[in-house]
Amino acid sequence: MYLGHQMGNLTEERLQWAAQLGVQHIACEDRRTDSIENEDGTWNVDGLRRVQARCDNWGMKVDVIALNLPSQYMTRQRFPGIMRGLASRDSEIEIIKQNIRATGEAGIACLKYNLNLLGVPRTGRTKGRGGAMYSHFDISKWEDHSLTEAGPVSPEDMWANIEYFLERVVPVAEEARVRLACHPHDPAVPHVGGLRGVHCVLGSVDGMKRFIDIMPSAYHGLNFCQGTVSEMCIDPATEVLEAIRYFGSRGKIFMVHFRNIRGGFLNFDEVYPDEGDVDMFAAVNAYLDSGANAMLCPDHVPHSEVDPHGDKQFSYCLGHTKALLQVAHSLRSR
Amino acid sequence: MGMKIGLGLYPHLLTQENFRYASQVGATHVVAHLPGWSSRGHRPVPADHPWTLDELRELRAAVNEAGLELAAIENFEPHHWSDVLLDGPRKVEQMAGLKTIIRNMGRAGIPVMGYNFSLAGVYGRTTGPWARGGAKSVGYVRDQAPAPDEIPNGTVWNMVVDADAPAGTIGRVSQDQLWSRFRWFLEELIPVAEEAGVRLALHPDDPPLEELRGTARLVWKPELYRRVFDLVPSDCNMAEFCQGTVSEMNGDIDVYQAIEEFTAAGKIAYVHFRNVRGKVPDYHEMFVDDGDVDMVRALRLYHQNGFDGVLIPDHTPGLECAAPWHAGMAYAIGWMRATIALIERNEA
Repeated sequence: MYLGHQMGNLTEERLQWAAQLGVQHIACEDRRTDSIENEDGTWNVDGLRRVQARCDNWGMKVDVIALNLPSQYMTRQRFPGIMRGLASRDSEIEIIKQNIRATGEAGIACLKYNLNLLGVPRTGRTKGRGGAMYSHFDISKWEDHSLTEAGPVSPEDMWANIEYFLERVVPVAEEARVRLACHPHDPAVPHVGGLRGVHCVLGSVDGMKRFIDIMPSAYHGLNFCQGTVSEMCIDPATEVLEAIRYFGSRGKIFMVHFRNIRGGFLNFDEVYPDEGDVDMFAAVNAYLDSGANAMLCPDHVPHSEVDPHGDKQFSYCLGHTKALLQVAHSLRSR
Repeated sequence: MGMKIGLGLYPHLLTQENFRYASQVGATHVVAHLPGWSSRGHRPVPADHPWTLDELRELRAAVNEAGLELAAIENFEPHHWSDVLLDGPRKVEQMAGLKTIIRNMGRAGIPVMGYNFSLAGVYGRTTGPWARGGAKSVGYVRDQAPAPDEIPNGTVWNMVVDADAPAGTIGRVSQDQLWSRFRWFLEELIPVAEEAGVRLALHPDDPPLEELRGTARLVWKPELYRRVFDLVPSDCNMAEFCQGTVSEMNGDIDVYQAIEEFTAAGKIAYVHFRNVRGKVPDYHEMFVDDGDVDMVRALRLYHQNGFDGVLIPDHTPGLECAAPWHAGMAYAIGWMRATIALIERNEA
């Protein structure tokens, strides 16, 4: 396990900032700066090579690129057909396949993606330490119960769309030797009834287990968002460690969103790593024990009016994670 | 009660906004670096006026209001004690002012006064892209340091305290002269500190050269701290233990041994926790996890020897972003918080 950072804006300044903090592995969400993505959604290998070269200049490696399947609400998706089962999905999947092949050709090992309809629903913010604002979800405060543009989406509908997608892209990923890292559904919503009629089947540990079993492939796995997994649990302190061991030992953890929460299923705050319910050092050890070997990157950080760009919050989280990794590795090398 | 993390704030940073930032990154204490500070905002106050009880109470209240503790004040104004350092004609008058400050601190409930008994002060360091990723940091590099010219009259700590001073320099100041001035300082002030319940905490000389600008330096080897403590034995005669400076000391120096010795002796009031690469006359300041010193081991030694005081990151290389200093401090504090928590539960 090693320190990484997920970056939406790969300017030279941002790359230098990351390098200064000791980051050597990048998950790149920026397909614009190096003109990776063409207008039609396909990717060009030269762009991928450019971003690799620029990171290499700072001693950093592009471990992961983000497919254009973000954690956004369905109407803001570039490729909405995939998760809505629309007629457009076949042509969308062709583009994703091309992206995978281009990534393989450029020698980048992993793609991260979401299979998302609802975006990331939250119900406001909770005031935290020093007046920082923590992203908050409490199902009892959720007010919009209207159906979405997708209408009712049963678990069966959702699984059918997921399977349709995986059956077509995972073989391509195997051929291209590119691992596909899927983010679970953030947050978990009621298993019966869902949220706004949408059943988020990747919002439970059982759902994640079923998901990885759909395709028995070493290239099919998870962007293991530890925060999201915590949000699925009644008792995150114990269940998250079990989930890490389960997926880690099966070689399914391709990268980690390393964040913490206070609370659990259907009611939580996204807090600083050192004040949540999950013992982050125990988590690091669980990854290591499980045999996982992937980047730990901070994900969401608290909002702060004295830190509009989030630089201080991210620097804090990177320092915290760095120390946990440093101590865990040094204990193991004794 | 274990080790505590503080943030050192310079005068212009002593604001509610920065107190909120300190809390956000998990600091519980503030060390106020006070020279240049005025509780009256931009209205100038005479720099030689001893800090009043009201001013100190106001400062502490502002820190407390943000949910933080004021751990220490760092450094007198040069005007407060220039003649104490220089053995000048106003030294008795200035000493009365220092005593007033210490008594006022005691009444205001500020437990530690950090100081640096030095004429040349922090001098001769340069800045360059020396830290990881080309981050700007400071260092002392013999070939780049400005000439160690003798100190002009009317100047201490690189600050002019008497603009009307006659031309010329203060000349050479020997070890004996310096220690004799320091002895007088301690003999006068320690009894007052004891009565006020304020600990005086001496910073070592940075850069730790035996002599700089023709003037002797007080603590430029770890063992000189022993001499400091023996000079006027008292629980109020302590160290502002700058681990960074101790790491920079040349010769057969063992920073870990120094940490153990002075922690076990109960002589560390608070710690400047920073990392460096190299030693005088050539060293650079580094990120906390990236220098010559094994910082996990260092923290373990403070803990094992019973230290339960405050550590501040002291300095940081500047990060390439809109808030270079703040982000750098946030990184250091994040690292320290994780490591201290693991050490205190015996997992590191």
